[in-house]
Amino acid sequence: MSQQTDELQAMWRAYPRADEKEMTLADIRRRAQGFERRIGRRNRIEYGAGVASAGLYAAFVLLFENPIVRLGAALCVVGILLVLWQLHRRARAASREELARVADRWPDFHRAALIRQRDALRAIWTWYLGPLLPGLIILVIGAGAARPPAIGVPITVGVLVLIGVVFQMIASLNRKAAAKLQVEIDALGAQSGGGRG
Amino acid sequence: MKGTQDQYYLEAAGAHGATLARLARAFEADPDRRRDLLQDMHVGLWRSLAGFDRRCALATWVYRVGYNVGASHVARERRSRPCLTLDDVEGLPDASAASAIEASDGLERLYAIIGRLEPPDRQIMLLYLEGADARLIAEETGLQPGAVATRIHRFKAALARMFQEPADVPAN
Repeated sequence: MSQQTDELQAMWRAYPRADEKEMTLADIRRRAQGFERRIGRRNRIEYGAGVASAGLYAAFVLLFENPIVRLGAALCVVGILLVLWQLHRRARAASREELARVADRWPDFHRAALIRQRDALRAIWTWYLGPLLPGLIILVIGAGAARPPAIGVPITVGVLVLIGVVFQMIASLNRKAAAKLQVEIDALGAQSGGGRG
Repeated sequence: MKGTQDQYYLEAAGAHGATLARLARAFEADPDRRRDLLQDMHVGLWRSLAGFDRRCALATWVYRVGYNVGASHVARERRSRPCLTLDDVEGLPDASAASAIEASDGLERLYAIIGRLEPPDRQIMLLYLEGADARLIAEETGLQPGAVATRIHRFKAALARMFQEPADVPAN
């Protein structure tokens, strides 16, 4: 090893640590629990918003007499509960093996994280948009059918087109983001020699 | 199992805590955010050791956790801070011929450059500075040993020029 190499590495190791406060195990546990509390709080807010929305549509089922509106509202309740179930499934605590993945080689660790993000974006129709759509469509049709056709039909068509455009925009943005991630994943796959080290 | 996780952590932090400190400095220049990042590295290390399966040495495990947590931290902020390639490093201006560079200034400049390198080059240089040989660096990065050696050679030559030392750097 050359003298310059020794000096470079010695300079690197000369990083001063006098001002660092060492963490005790109690500090570690407290910070880890802080992470988990923040994630739990975020999840509870999402569940709360979902339950409140489901409650609103459940009220439609009870309050409206129009059978199509009631069917649509009931399907919205089912759709929201499906979305909440998906959120709960994805928010489960990580296993020991999953926690240990932070000790994978960087190309494998980063690639796995990108794959998880890509798969979540690709699955947006399956676990988020899809469950909500049937109930919304039937609800809008039912509400439009309760009006005179001259008013109800254009309003129904207009609202359905708007829903379709918004959902398609969301799906398109997610598809593009997933495609960008795929490029990064492929580049990492070309760089990395193999699986987890 | 909890006792074993705690024992592994105490052993790892005691023997290799300095590595995490250096990695945190390499990834974050702001002192407050660096302190948070270092704590995140320690928490990540402790949590990961619940699944320590001896797939590698403890020192390597510690390095990998520190690097992955730090690199993820930088990736989240990457849009506001463009990365440097090795070509950019070689193109940086020489130090002033009139001044000698103090050790602390040199270390700060080194951290500044390392922190802005693109991921493959950054990981290669960090491993090299931590004392890893070309074989280990190649295993960790997935690159060929020859490519690793070439990049290290170019980086050392660029630093030698920047710090006004003779570019007496043999190729590996």
